[in-house]
Amino acid sequence: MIRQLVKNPLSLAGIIILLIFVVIAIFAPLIAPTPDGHLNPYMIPHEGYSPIPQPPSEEHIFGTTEGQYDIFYGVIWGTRSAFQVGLVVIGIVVVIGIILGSLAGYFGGIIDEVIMRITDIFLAFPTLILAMAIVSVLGPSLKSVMIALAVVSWPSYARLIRGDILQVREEDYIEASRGIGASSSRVIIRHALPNAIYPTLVMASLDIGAIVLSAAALSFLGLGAPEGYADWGQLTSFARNWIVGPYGEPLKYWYAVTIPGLFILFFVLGWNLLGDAFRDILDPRLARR
Amino acid sequence: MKKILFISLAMVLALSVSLIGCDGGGGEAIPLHNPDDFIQETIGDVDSLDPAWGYDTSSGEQVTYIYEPLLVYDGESTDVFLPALATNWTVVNATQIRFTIREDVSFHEGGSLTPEDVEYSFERMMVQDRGGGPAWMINLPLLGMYRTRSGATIVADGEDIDNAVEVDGNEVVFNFAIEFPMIQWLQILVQPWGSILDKEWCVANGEWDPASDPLSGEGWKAYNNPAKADSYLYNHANGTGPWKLDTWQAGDYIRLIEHEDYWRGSVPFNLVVTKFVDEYTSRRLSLLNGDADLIYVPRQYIGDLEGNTELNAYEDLPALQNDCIFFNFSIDPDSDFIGSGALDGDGIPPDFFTDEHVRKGFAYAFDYDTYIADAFLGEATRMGNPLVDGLLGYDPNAQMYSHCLTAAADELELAWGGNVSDVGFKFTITYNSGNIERKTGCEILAEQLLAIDPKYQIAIQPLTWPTFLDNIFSEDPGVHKGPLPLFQIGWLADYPDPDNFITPYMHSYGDWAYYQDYGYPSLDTKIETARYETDDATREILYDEICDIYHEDCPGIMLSQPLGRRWFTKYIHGFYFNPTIPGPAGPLYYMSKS
Amino acid sequence: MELRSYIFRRLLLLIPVLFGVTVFIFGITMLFSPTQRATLYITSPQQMRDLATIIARYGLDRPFWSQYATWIGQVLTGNLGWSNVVSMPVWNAIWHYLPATLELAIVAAPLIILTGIFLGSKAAAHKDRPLDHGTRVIAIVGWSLPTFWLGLILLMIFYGYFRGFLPPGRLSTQMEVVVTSADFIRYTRMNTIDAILNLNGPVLLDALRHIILPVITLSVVNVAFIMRLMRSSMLESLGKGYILTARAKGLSERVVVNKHARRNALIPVITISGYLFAALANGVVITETIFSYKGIGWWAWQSAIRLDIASVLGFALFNAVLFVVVNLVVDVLYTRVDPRVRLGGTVQ
Repeated sequence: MIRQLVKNPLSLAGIIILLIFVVIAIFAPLIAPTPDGHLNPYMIPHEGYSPIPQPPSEEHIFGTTEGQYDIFYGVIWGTRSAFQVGLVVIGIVVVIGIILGSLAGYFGGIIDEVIMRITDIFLAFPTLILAMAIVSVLGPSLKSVMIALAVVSWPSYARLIRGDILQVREEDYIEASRGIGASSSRVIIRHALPNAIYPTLVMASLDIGAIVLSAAALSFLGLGAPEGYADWGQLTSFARNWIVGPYGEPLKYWYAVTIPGLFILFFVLGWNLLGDAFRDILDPRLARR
Repeated sequence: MKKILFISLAMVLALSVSLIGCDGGGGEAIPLHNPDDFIQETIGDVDSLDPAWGYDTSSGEQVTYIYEPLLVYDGESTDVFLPALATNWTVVNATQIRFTIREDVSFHEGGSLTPEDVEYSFERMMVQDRGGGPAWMINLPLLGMYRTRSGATIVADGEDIDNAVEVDGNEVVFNFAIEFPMIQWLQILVQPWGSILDKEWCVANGEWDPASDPLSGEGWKAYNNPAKADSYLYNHANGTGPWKLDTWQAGDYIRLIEHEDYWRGSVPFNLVVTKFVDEYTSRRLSLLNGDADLIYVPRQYIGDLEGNTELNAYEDLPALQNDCIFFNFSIDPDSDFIGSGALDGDGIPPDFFTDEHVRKGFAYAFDYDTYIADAFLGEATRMGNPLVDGLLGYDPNAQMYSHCLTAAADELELAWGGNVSDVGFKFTITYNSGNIERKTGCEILAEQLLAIDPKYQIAIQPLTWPTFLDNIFSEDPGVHKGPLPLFQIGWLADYPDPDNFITPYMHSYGDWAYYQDYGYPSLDTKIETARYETDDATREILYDEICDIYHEDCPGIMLSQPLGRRWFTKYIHGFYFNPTIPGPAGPLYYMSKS
Repeated sequence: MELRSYIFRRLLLLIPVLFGVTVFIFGITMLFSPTQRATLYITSPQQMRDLATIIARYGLDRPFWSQYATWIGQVLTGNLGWSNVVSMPVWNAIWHYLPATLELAIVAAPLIILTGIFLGSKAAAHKDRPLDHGTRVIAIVGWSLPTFWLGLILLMIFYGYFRGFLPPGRLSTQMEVVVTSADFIRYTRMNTIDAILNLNGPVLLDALRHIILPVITLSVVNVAFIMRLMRSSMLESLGKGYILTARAKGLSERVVVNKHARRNALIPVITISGYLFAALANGVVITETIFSYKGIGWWAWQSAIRLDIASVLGFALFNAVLFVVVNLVVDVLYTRVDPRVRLGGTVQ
């Protein structure tokens, strides 16, 4: 499978992009060192407090945004935040999805009904608003964002797993296992799940990009990472007041808007390229989803 | 398919070509549109048009156009008065004042002004007394209590409300329940909540009717503390002012038209339109295209319009407000913001700020000049105590703490017997997210202290507005106050008397001081004495002493008073600045457009 | 199964869903302290001294079930409460702000679906050739674009650089006056449609100028999605038996693709259009906020940020009803298009 991924030019591009980001994330302290005495490396250092963004210069390669936060530092450390959010949320969501989806799919009946109704309820609400409500309660921080996104994302996974378990349930080898007396959980874990897991992985890898986009959107709307935190969405929200420059220099503050956004774009692009290729390779039938 | 694409592309191109150059640009002449109208674009929205309800500047502004009070300020003064709906007034004694009511004044809907209307307006305000509203300023002198309720039960006596305001011939008599400084009463009357309503019209439209629900009975209590939309006056208006309500489209705009029978005479504008536009760039375009006469310009965009000869800009207008970083003397021991909760280098104890060396150390550490230069772009005046420019007792040369890191270090060495400088401290300071000035204030404090000694560590955390307020206004009565070690918030004047600023900052029951657990009996007495003092010269001396005490006690790091600007087109004349006038447009009736 | 009874059964499902949604939202709001919820009713911190009165007045400290029961009681009498953020009853707010969002959806949805279908079928017909790869890259990039960032960039270029060419908001100031004047009849409160109905060229032009950018922002992500979906389902149906027959009969490729493959490929697209509604509902919040295009998404965001519980609940109800109805319509359409599917069959 790895070979197939590498041969496909698009997925190769995706892998390269992601590798670059991984390197950036790991070596962030070297690429954008935290100044001495600065307490929390995830809070972007700033020189001065002026609300007017400064253009790229020797000291600040990508310029500064409102409040004199160094954009370069912000986007580099923001890579770490992005990975954190994406991986943690997907991790939680897949686990919950697997547990609830398996229960629903395998046992059917009342358990299935209840779980399905609950997912109905969650899906009947625009995820962004629900996420906003949750972050409002918990207070703006990256942790709240992760919790909120996990809460709104698990239903689709539960449904997915359930669907796959339903399909797999009728397969012969399941009957066979039951025939020789294997317990239900054993059957699920050792037989049903592994076969149901592939489509989930595909969806998850595609979703990391979507999760990071939602997190960025929440930060942008003011309900995400706190101001000054190294988070791409947060950096973009600073640019909101500066989309249009003074008369005669309308694109004066372009760097404040463009640069953080480009990082988000490429990060998500990497995951999407990878996920798209995954999908084509693992199961052509899945291309329908 | 292809054909459709092609056609649509062609249409788009045609559209674009026809629409290029739709911008008004700057530096070009601003055309004079709508010569008979005044149009302003700003942010926000009106809360309620009911004069007894509204407590925000937006509502207040519209109320001053639609309604009128008994008296007004003379031009830019804040303590010299001119008659309005009252022709003159006499102070009878410390608890009684009489107003002669003007005749031949008509309301928008046709009624005539009578002393009964005045009586009704004030009685209704006390009857309604909505929670969180301005009625407390009427309640306190007339009834001797801030609110007609204690918790949810009404404790005010209908008879007392009745006796507080009486009609005597063509006069209205106010009988105070307590001795109250007359100057403050007059200042209260000038504000929007002193507006006069038409009793017959109100009663006819479902408002409290003293005939069917007299104050001697219990029926009037049903009208106490209503929901906002339950009042007819919420979005209907009938006043004596120069403009009457035409339409209010909530969130979009409010339009007023000329009151033809206005008693003062001709009205300068046929239409007064206030639009609520969130986008600064849209507002800017309207101004430069001549479609708006006045717009709200956020401070960071001042450079945009500076030097434009087509505009009339007024700057350095001192607003009656200030901002301050308050120390909490009695922090909630369970607070998440104080680290370990002990003076062990990992936190602070709940009574950390009771040591004056800590407070003074912080006050010396703050970099005031950078704060004003960066957070306000220079458009603010440093304050040393709560009294701002425009109030009696304001002293531009008042004592202030200079930004001096060595003095700060020295003070902190003395704090808590030297323990502070030995082990250091750690806590979190908060601000309401989105507020750049307060964020800058927090950052400056944190970074300056860190520069003195790396053991002085302050983390910064933004909170949403509701959470922020929840944390400030929190206490276990008698045990401790809220969880925030420091909170940064400001005061906006209710009326331009020094007591309105000193009490919240320094009196034990003051809005802010109470939640700091600051204030003590000797200071309270001093404040109360100054409050009731009638002789201006004596008062000034008293407030001088009080301000000295503020500097000595240092209950907070006093920051600044903002200086405002107004941006009109060159066609608007007659603007003058009186800080008590709500809204940016100013004394609209005395302005003109040509 | 009879169509009518099927619809009835599905609509019955509304009740538990609505109940669940509202209990959930109410539950979240109960996590706020009464003090926090009281801040909705004040306009300056000085008013907090009256905290106790405000809390008592609006019953903010009553237990969960008590507040919920009161609210349900009100709803059943048709009173959805008062929306503080826009100063009008919640019911009015929904209908006041809905036209703006509908307008966006009406302009965007056909654009999205048609473009998606067109590009998708083209990609399928030219499988593995440059056009297919090209559209695939475009789709993935489009999919990866943060909507809010795209909106900002578009504003930066078309509003900033091109000096007000395509501004935010719904209408310019002058046109706003025209539209609210007595000569202009607002049939639908959707400015583009009303302008056409009133035969008013300048208003139409102005409304279009304001709507283009939000529509583009909304569309980009969704076009990508539909395009890929159309492509894969087209590919599947192109491999089906009846296609081979059609080709064997000598029908031209064009007819094969257009008449047969495409119609059958539309099936999942119909389903997806239902989910497109959900995607638009989310995208619309950000788009409306950035472009100050005051529709229902903007209203929901304001309400969520300022803890206007009544509004959030009203929005939740409205949304849930819409969700169930749309799903129902999609399922019924599904049976119409694919004769193999019966009503009530288990659909994934």
